[in-house]
Amino acid sequence: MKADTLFFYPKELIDKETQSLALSIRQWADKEVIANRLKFLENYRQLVENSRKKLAMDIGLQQMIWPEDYGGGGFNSYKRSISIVRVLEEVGRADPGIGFMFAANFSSYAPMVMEPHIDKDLCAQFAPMFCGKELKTGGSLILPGAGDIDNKDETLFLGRTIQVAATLEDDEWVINGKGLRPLNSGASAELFCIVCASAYGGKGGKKAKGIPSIIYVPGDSKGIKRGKAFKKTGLHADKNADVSFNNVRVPKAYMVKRDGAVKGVYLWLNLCMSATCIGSLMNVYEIIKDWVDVRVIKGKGLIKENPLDAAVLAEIAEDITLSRMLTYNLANIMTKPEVYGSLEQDRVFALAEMIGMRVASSALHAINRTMELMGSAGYATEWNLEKHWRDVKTIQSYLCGIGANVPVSMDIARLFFDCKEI
Amino acid sequence: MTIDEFSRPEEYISPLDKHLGSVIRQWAEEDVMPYRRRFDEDWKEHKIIEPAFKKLMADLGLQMCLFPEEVGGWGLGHSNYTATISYRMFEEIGRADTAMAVAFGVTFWPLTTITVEPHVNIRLCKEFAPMFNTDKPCFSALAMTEPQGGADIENIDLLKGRTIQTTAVLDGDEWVINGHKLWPTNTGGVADLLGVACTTRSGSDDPNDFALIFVPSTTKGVTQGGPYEKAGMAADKNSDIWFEDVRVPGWYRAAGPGDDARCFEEIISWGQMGSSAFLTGAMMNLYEILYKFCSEKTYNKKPLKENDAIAALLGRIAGDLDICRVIGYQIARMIDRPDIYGGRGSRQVISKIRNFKEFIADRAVEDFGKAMDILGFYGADRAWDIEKHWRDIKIIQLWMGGKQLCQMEAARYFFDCKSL
Ligand SMILES: Cc1cc2nc3c(=O)[nH]c(=O)nc-3n(C[C@H](O)[C@H](O)[C@H](O)COP(=O)(O)OP(=O)(O)OC[C@H]3O[C@@H](n4cnc5c(N)ncnc54)[C@H](O)[C@@H]3O)c2cc1C
Repeated sequence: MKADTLFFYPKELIDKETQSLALSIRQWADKEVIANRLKFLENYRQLVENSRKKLAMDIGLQQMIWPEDYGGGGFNSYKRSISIVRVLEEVGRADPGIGFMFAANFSSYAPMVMEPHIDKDLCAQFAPMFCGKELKTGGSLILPGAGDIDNKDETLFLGRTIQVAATLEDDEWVINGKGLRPLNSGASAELFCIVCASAYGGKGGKKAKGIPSIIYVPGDSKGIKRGKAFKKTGLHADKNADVSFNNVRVPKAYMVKRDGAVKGVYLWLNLCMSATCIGSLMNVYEIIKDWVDVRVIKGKGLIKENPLDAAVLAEIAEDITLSRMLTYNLANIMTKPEVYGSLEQDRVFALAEMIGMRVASSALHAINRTMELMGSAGYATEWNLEKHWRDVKTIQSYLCGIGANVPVSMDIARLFFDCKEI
Repeated sequence: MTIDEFSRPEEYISPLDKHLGSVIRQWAEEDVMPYRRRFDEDWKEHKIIEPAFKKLMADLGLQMCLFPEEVGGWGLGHSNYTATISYRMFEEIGRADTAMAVAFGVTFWPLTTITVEPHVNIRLCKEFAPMFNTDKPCFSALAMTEPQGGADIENIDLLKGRTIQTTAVLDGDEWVINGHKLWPTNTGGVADLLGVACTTRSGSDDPNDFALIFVPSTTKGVTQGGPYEKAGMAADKNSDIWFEDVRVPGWYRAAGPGDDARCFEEIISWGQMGSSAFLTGAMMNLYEILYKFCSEKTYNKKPLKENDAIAALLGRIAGDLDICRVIGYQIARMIDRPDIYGGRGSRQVISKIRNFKEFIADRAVEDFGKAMDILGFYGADRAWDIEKHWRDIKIIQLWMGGKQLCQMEAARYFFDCKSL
């Protein structure tokens, strides 16, 4: 049986358009990526670049999330959450690094494109960047993270430090922040979606104190300095680099000041990353299935018939099944604000964080256990497992942001137990 | 607090510990740590990696340390502290790069069967010492794993070598070896000397038919493939080796019928000791990096280490290192003192040592993973050096037959299981 049918998901909730889109992505994955992995073993980046182009342009993922009125694919609604998961899952199966890029892109556009908060001015401004005929890197997210011991007057977003200040001067936001670590694509993004501390008054360069907000900054704005792309564990489809903003000016309208907008970014990020991780797990299942169907141990029986190894396989299957159910469940909850409340409120935000953390950690657990059963083959590039392991681990650390799972645990404890001082 | 203050049983540390430890630490800090972030891209060529090996092995002369003095060695194989001092050396190298530690450690691995008491085989020592007594780095490899599986070959207690496909047939006074091995450390063209696990009678589970035979890698009929690309461990090259009618003198067999099988069981203990040392070395470096990061970076306006919940994670990580180091040195002690603990290849010692190593490996894998999450956006960044260790050490948990074999050995010993 195919992984797809073996691991439950709410099929009845997937509309026809999404089914056919998922099928196209499946075909793209099999033909363009999975079938070519061995051929491009030593030049994987090339494979990623060739195949991402087809996915972004021919299949249309680059514009998928933008409103139809602005040339997009019209998936810009909370009502399409399940479809978005289905799509990213198929991409993650082929390559979690490509999945990650789209997941981060989607989350970075969400504050301006997602119903019911479509910001028409911003869409009109930025949709042409991504809904044309040219392949783009997409939007880069700069989220709050680690603070600096020497900096006493930082603005926080739920304990995490916001490192970018935006000050209003003459109807323009003046943006400052040094050595920032984006989540994705710092080296080449055409647009930055930044969680900043916005404040009225103050002069450029002077650190503003203010409220957590979202500001969009075009990548070619004057005053942006990008570092060299750094080497990282996984997600090699994406080139990331530190970025500094030195008195970068953008129009006043580029700020999204809505209450809950920052939480909204985390919400979409957790959903999209979970979808990417379960996609990765689908391929991990295919790899381990091929292995245990033929590998013999103890000089005679198949490895899968050994009770100890079968118990490990069961753990892997459980991790995949439950992660998939959790992710689709979150998506389903997001499609029904009339039942579960608005997406940007604390309950849904905390749920998304919980599920994001749990899915990333279950995915990593499943891949670790898979590697155990595959011995050295699991560790060799040739078997394609180790790449999933590196990619998913990178996603997990990124979702933590800083301090492992502690910030998320604090968000959850605050919600359920009214903690005031954590 | 420095890394040297993590616990270990101070009363049986080798007299050479301080001196050798500091020499290797200096080498690691000058010749490895400043360059290690570029090692991954050097996995095939070893252009950056090789000079560091040359200094350690040839210039400092460590590749001769196990050989007896009479053949120009340092005579460590005669010492009561062979394993304990090896642990310290491996730990110091592992702190900088576990792959270099394994490449270095494996060089001694097959040699333990001819250089360490009570197995000193002076004829073979004389034969092979000149290879190592040069100004170039010289490596050995221990070829056990085969395409059909490595775990079975290491599961010597249960399968007794029955699955080994590489054959050694005595033709006059020469062994003729045929077979195909995978994965040995220091292959891919690196090793000059190979210790090859063979059977003298296919399918036999008689210990007398297990043979460990030394084969210089330039012998006719030996072919090494190109190195495999892996998730990590760039400084260790691994490849296929084919043996096609390879002929070596009959006396290249390590110890002889029955004794080779016993030596091989001891090799398992040595390997697990080395693995444990690589891991605690890497964990020492983890502690250093985390100390810096968690003192300088903040969450909720306090240094990370001053947040109770994050401190709990840090406490666990440091605590694990403290515990694992004690266990690791205990392994070394058990190998050094068969008079107290029983033979290195005895069931009791192998099972306990496998169990110790599995515990250390599990702690290390979890701690490095957690540490990457503590660094968050920086965890996967090569510049912080944790992610490389994380990629490198995973295989230490999996090699030598893997985690499940360790679990089965423990169950078999502690519960008298007969069929696992
Ligand atoms: C960096 C590196 C260095 C290495 N160095 C060396 C070296 O120096 N010399 C060498 O010979 N090899 C070396 N190896 C190979 C390594 O030791 C083997 O890969 C390992 O022993 C497992 O063998 P395998 O990969 O063939 O897996 P298999 O033997 O097929 O085992 C796969 C899995 O099956 C399961 N299994 C096996 N037996 C049992 C059992 N009895 N009960 C329950 N489950 C079981 C376990 O989950 C195991 O992990 C190295 C590998 C790497 C990656």
